[in-house]
Amino acid sequence: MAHLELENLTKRFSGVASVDAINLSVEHAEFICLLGPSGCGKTTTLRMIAGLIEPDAGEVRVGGKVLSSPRGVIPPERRNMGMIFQSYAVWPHMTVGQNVAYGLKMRKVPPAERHKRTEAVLRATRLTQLADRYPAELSGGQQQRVALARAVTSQPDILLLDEPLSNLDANLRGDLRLEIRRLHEEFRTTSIYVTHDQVEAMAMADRIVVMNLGRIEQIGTPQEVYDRPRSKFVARFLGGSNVIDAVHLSGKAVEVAGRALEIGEGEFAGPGKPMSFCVKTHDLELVPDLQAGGNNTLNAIVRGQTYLGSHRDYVVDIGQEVLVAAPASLDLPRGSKVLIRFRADRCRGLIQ
Amino acid sequence: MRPAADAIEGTPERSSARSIDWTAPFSIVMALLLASLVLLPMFWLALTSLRDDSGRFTLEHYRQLVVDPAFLKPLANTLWTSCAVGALCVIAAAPMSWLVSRTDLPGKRLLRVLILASFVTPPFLGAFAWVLLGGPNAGLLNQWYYGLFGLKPFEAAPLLNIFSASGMVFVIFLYTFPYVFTFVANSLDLIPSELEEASAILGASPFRTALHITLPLGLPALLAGFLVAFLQSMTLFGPPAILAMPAGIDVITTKIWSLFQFPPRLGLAAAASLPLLPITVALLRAQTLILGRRGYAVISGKSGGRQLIRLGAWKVPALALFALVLGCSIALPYGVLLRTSFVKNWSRPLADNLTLEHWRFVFLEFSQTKLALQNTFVLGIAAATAGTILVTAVGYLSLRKIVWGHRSLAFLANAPVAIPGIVLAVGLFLSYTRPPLVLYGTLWIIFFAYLTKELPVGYQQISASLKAVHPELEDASRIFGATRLRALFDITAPLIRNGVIATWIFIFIGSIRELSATILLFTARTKTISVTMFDLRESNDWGPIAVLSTTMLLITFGMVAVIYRFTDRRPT
Amino acid sequence: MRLIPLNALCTFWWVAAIALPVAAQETTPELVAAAVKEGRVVWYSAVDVKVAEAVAKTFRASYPKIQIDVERAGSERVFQRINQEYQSGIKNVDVVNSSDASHFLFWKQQKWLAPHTPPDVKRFGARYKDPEGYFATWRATLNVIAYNTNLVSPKDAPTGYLDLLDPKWKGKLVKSHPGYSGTSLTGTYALTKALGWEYFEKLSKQAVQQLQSTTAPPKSIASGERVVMVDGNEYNMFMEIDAKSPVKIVYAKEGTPFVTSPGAIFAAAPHPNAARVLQNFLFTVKVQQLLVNEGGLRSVHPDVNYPPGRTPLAEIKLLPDDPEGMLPLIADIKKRYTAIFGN
Repeated sequence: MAHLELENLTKRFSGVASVDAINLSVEHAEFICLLGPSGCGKTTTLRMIAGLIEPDAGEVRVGGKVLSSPRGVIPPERRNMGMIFQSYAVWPHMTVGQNVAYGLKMRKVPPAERHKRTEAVLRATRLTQLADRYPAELSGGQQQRVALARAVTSQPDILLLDEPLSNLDANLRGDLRLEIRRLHEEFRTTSIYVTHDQVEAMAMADRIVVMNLGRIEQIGTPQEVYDRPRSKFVARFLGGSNVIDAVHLSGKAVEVAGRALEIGEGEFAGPGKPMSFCVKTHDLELVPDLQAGGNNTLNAIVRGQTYLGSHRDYVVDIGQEVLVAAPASLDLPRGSKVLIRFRADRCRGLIQ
Repeated sequence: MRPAADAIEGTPERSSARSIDWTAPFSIVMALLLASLVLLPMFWLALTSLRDDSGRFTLEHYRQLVVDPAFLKPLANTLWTSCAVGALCVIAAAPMSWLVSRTDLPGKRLLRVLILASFVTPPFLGAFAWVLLGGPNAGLLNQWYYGLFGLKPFEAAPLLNIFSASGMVFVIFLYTFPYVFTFVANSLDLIPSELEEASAILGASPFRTALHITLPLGLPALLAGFLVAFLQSMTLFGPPAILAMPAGIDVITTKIWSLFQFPPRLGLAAAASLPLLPITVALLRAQTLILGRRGYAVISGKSGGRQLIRLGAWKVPALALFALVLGCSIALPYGVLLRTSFVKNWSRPLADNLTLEHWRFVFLEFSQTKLALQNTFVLGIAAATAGTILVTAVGYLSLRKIVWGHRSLAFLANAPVAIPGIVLAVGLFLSYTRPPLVLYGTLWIIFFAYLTKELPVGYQQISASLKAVHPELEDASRIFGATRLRALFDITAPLIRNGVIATWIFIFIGSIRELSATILLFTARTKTISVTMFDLRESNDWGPIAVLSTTMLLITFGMVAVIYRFTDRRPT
Repeated sequence: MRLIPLNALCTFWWVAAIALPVAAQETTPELVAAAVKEGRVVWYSAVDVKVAEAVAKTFRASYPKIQIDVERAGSERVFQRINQEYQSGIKNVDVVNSSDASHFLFWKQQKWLAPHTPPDVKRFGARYKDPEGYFATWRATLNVIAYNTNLVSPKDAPTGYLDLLDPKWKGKLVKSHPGYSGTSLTGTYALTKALGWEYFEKLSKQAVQQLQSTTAPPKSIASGERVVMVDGNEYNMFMEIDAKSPVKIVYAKEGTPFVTSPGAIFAAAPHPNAARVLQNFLFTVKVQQLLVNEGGLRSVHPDVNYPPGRTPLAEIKLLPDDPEGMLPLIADIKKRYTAIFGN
């Protein structure tokens, strides 16, 4: 039995479904990321899991027990979960120590043990010397560490993280990311992490749930989701991919700009029907010599380039704009005519 | 259903699949309470205006209102004097707030405190003081003027005659400009200085910048301030009664009051009151449209963080402006009241004139002092406490959007701002001088008047405070095991503590200085200080008036200072 | 001969013992005891507030166990308040004094007053008390013209009402308002009878400063705020003169309105016994003399003496008051006056 199950979970605001009948199973100790743009419903889903919002339809189950349903909701205080917020939500009128110990206080843990456990966590998160300070005296990064410590201390069944790194400076994000992952390794708490940053998701998650407009687009490991996106949206959102419009010919062949191309795998629309396929920018080869020939190539005109040190990103026009990663040594001016070679096994057909 | 008192103690919830939702019935109770406070009086007002003495439907009262010059003239007077007050406030407050917000004027903190003092001074008290200062022949300023130029009273025109429409406008202005100042200063505080710096780089002097850049940016606030000043002026009773009536000039509030003199012509009074409502509603809508969703703003001491314009030698005339306005609203009036309380004959020089007889009279002989003080305080404390609890509950329910219909709750809490004090009093009188609930003659009816009237101020204060508490702070506490009520107690309450205290103070001060509603609702045993002072004016007893005024000011400022000391100083 | 049964006799005396204190006219120890039990007496008066408090102080000295609450307002306001209270079912007032005698006729008609003749009143002249004993003249005063001696030389001083129409007095006059003051109302009525409403119409062109109570104009000319008062009460003038203010009274050659101010007890008084104690006390020569000495009032008590310097009534041409004649015209007088002078 999965640890956390969402079945047909739905929430409507003003008649519009913000979360639309999503289904998800999370195993014990899994680290799941809900990834998507603003408004995709990921935070609403998280808040329903927390019990802060009531669902309009569907269920939230933990360990088989129904926690949320349209018929009733077990309130947050009885779910034994932990949560980290984007705004840190560290209580400004309590010291760091009091913040961290709060969960234990609510669970009526006796003072002596409370003290012991709080000390332990403060040591583990290197916050001991800040124990008597107030949040206003701390930096953003330190406050979020306090929030982490607070969540970990109460030893929750499930840890919910709502874009915890969004408010931090870029250099701090890396450190805190490692911290979160480290604590996960140590405590093996089932974790649901919400973010709009695909780099974060890829770095931290065991599985990624890509969401868009209230629906789940794809669930998979970072590699699955990145390498084998199953929809245009996932392909674009995870980044690094081109999504090219084409028309299905037959079998694994599609037509682009009047030419036929072979695709490796994926979903095909049906002969004569329009579809797309995705291919990574670094899986395309920019061939400056028009005479080179070869299968699976298309003619293109260079529209522009950006030198990025390790490589160059070229924008080329095959009838649509395509981004190609080329070696840094290859420097072509605008308007150059080139060939773009497609590796069939690196192209994936998409119908959504 | 869980009553509110129980909820704060945090009794543990029973275990069940669905948590007991106390918020719905609680908010229904709140809504009913608010509705009865606000809507009931208005209902009776409308009803009475349409009925004649025998209870039959009639439009006679309204007809009289429209044709009788005895009504049209006061209405016209009200409109033009309120416009004048608004204009004067804007003309004075605009440069003052610009100077405080955008320049390196010295002593800003003190100036803001003094402006706050103007805000807190009851206008009728200022009117009393200005009678002593600006009475055309015996007023101290006029006497000084005559002396300076060797003129004789009654033969030469006085420097100023406070017993006139313009005198009244002047005095109302002195105690209304803080509203406009606050609006404009707060909005100027928000303008990034880069906008002005850009102008300076292009060659404009500070004053041209002020004219072409800052002024247009501050225009919405100026307009909104004008509207508020207009509204304030329209609803005042004290200054018109003290300064305009002796000159034979009536405004709508004094007219309504005169309709209440026995035998009261309630139908006419009701009909005369009602037209004020659509005017105020229209002005408030205009204000909201101009300002966006910001309503009241609180005076705060925002400093620096931006480039201030250097005044150089212009500091002197700038400070002179403040000295002039604040001198007229604070220094001179407080001074003359203090002086008058210690002299036998207020218009004669100090020599041979000092006495303690007025103080002795007021505190040892005057049988009404003790009762009036008691009533004023009981009412102030009761209204402040009940009001704070009410607006906090309504504010919380409304801002956290906990219940369906939370917008109506917020609307009801703000509605009384559209009801002038005297109109509310007429409505309350009509509601509570009939069975089943006859409250006229008790302190209750005055308590309701104060509570209702101060709701909007309290609500604005508390919602500003609540808005500053991120809802996630409460969510976090619930995640970690606190019930909603526990979260309120542990998290929200400490964080809004300062806001709650400020709300209490605002409502308390607003209540103890109230006159325009009390003047219709009081009886012999339910007199307040303001009404007692007003009564003493009838017989020209300026000594006792001065003593009571000084006492009232001391108490007001004393309470503000005491409570300020107890506000939380922990870093938040 | 039939003997009256003992228990009937006891019943009679028992009933009498309870009923008697209330019906008694004299201040007997039983009455005082019953009054002390009530503990309080509420007195609405229109006399100057300092005079009222002085009287209250004297009462407290004599009856320390009875608390006296003084409610002072202009007589028109006293009238309004009492009527408004009674209309709303509030019975707060025990004893009332007002400078508008017609009020008492109204209250008597409403059957709100209780008949009570204090012992001293028995010796008052017949025109100074109600034949059925509902009220009696507690104080009297004159409604006089006066001026500030620093601002007016004796030769320029007015000698009567018609003199005040002289343009030289424009902007320098002050007067009270019959809408607020009984003394002013009585005076206005007397003047309309003597000089007609045209007099007031002409007077209104003089830019007269309009105050409310007749206690106010004397203070106004004493401070020099205005020069001449058209009407104001004589007793406040005496108080100013005693305080060495630069003022002087003028008894108009057309006649000076004489204003009697009655006092009465209410039938529904919440403290009936204390009310009678107070009322009796108010009419004693001690209080009446206090009113004359400290209050500058006139009294109709036969045993009262006047301090030197006060013109005796016999030497003044008086316009006596006429409450019965005035009563039906009150609303009209106020309306006409307000139309001429404003509120």
